[in-house]
Amino acid sequence: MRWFRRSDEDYREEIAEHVELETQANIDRGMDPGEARRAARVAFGSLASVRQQLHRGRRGYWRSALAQDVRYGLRMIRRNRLLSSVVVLIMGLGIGTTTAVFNAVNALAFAPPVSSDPESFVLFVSEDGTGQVASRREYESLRTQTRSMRQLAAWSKAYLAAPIGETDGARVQGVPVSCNLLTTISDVPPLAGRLLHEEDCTSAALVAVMSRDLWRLRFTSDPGIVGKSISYGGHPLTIVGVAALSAAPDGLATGLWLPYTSARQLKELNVYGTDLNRDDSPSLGMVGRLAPGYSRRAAAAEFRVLTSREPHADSSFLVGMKLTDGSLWSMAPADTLWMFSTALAFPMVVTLIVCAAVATLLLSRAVKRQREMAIRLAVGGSRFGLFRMLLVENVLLSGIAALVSLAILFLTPTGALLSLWGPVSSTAIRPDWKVVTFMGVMTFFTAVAAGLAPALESLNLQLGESLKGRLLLAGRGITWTRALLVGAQVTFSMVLLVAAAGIIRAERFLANPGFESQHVLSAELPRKPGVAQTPSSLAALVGSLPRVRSTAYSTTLPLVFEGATILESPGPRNQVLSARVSPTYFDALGIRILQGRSFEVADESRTGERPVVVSQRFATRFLPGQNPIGYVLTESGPAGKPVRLVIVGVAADRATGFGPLKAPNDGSFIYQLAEPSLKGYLLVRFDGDVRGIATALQNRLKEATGWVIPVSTIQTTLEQRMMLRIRAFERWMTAIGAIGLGLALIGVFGLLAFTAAQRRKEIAIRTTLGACRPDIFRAMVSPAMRPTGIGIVVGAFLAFAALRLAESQRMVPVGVPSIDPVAYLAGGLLLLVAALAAMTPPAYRATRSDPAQALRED
Amino acid sequence: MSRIQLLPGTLEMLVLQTLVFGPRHGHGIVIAIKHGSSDHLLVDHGSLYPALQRLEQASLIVSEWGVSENNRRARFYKLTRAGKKKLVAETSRWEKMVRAVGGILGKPRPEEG
Repeated sequence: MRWFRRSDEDYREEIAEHVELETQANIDRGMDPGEARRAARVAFGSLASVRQQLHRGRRGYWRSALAQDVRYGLRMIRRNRLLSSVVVLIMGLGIGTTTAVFNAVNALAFAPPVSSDPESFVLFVSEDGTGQVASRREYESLRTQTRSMRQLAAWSKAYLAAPIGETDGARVQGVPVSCNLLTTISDVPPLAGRLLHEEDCTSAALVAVMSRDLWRLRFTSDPGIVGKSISYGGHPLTIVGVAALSAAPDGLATGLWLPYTSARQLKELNVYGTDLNRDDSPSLGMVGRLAPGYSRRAAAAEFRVLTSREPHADSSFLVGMKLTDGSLWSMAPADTLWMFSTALAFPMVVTLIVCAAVATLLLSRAVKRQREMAIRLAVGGSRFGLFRMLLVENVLLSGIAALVSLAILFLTPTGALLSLWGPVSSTAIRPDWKVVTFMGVMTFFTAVAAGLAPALESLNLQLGESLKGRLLLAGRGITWTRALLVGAQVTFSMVLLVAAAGIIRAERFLANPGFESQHVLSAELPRKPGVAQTPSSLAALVGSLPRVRSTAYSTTLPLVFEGATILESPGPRNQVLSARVSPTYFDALGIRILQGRSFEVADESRTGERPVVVSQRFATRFLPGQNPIGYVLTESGPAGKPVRLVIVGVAADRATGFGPLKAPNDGSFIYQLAEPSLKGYLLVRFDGDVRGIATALQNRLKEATGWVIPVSTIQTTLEQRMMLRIRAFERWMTAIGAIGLGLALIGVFGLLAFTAAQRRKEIAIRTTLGACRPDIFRAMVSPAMRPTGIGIVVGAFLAFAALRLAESQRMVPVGVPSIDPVAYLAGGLLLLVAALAAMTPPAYRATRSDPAQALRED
Repeated sequence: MSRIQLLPGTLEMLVLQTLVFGPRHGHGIVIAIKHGSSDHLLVDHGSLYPALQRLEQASLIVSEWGVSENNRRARFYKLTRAGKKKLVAETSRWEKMVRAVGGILGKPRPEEG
């Protein structure tokens, strides 16, 4: 292989000699010298074209051509500093927003839930995606048999909750764990005292390890806490140490970690109210550390053998159990992908607007460049080469924008970005290679998407006309490219605005949620030892208070905490929102029964099929065209045994709130009858002002139970609990909507300013022919109004589709914004007014221009 | 006399063949092809040079400046070992194709006229 490179000069000389030789040969054949030279030239063909071919055929031609394009691009960027800065700024906004969101989601999706040695960490996940994989018996058997795990630890999903000390403070969560769990998760030494020892899991003494947060908040980081006994829900608990876990798998971050053997003693503190600590109850999650030399795959193979060797009747979970690294991605790849696409949807729309806005800005320059391009074409430049040259310039611009946003991204903690959604404690998450790759792709995409139309426009010329300096497009008004671009910007902006308006307006659901929230007090019933009263006896007790209209109780608090159940029939397994309520529930909350009947006291003692009331939406969703009354549903009961439910009534729909993720938040709801022993919320409907009644209720409850129980209206609880989340969501939506609107306006303004400049002559002629200023104004604005109007209409349809999708995926915290006409009207009107405002200055300037001067220039 | 345009891709083969008997410059190659085909083949002088560039970049030929028969500077091209091998392979491939195509086209045709 010879690596020398022949220069263009070398070829030029060789060709000249060739022509010379041919000329000489022609002379030798008897031609006169002039004729001979001419014939030689003809025989050779186009010198310029051959030279061009040789030039392109050279090794490294692409590199040098690209370098040349880059130099040209940089020169152009320097020459148009203002335009370039605006373009960089806008592109940076698009690339930056998208990458920031990607960065945040990336951190959420791929980060393992442990901080030390994530390579050897294993989190067991059952086939259906829950973390409950084994019973205590199974765990202990696996732990003694495994060779592939140097550590295998477990914790109970049936966690405990009770106040600490004698006060009526907030309840503190406690998780029963195997005594090696904390050392399996983290190798960080305890902040004080010790972690759990194996002996703790064999002795009967009640001990616990406290979390750093609890230690700081409740005990002012007092090191003297170690060895002390504190009361946990009435039980004496010795604190042996304080652990610092900076990261932990879902469900393990808590206030207290207790030996799982002690869970039986504390069983009335269990939030599920049932004894899930039995040997055969599959309520344990498992984590482990790989033994040296074992991969997750090898360990999975071992566990397949171990679990198939002996029949494990306790749980079906063990079969098909997956060994993951604990990241969201490894546990649920499909969900993670979905999370990525949904989180990126809005920033991507912003990016599309950015591309359209930049394209509009660059188009005006592209037309001015037609003459330059004509010259380049005339001297032998290929259209493809020029096209590449123009695109390189755009890639440079977006590259600068990307660098700027990357710098911002590296300097900003992701926590700050995530705080747009709400308060987060996450520390700075540095962008990794995935983020940088994503950004690269986005940068290139932005450059090409924004540069394609301008580049094509630059080259869309007729050589002769352009060389004479006549702008081909002059007087043509708005070309379809530009109309399309502006239409696209308006469309995408409309999508963002409607979504933002719809979601902001959804807040009104909190004021009118479909049930009485202002005149209902709720009290969380005490899960404390020594409280003998059942919810129904308490309800009866407070029912005698003055101004109380009715009382009820429920396992969940509507809109604030929703529960869900799994239906086996009708249809495939469905998660549906559900609550257990007392017979008086509908009356107390003012929810109308539309069909059939409400619960009756007699239902409580009924055996066989359990009576349920469903919401109207439930009936239309699952039983369309059927009479729901008397229909029998099958619920997936405990230990997989189906429970038959018979529908006795249909209640009016009400707004539903955050519930378990997989239950659609569309208003379908199943009300079941609460068993009298179940703990939950006492609901008291009252008349008149809340002040006196709240205190009276609290006093009555104190008398009955001996505890001071916080009492507040559902409305207040809603505002306290949900507003934070909803406001954060609104802030985020407003920010994105504003960015989208701003960008679209830049586009509209740019378009009109450019058209006005181009149509100067036409306007001058119209003016001299007698057109008055309003005519001119109309002539300027109306061609731009059409793509704006079409954009608004198309955008409204797209917004509907997008919101429907978001609602079906439970991304909308509350309400149904897709069918809110006000959101569409507000979005459309705002956009229309803003677009008109953006069009006015250039159009006004056009009416003021001096026709004589415009006609004189050429 | 009617001249035939070269089939695409055959120019390289012809160039290699003309260099079998020793180095030649570009003009010499054109003349050799012209004479070798008894003036039947039409070679654009200009198209020769991109072909030479391709052959040179594939290391099938090498070139250096020398002095032509009428004492002018000229660049002479020489076959390399790889070039010779390539020529042998290409020639046999070409012969096979000619035989195959000839076998079909050479069948007795219906009487003309």
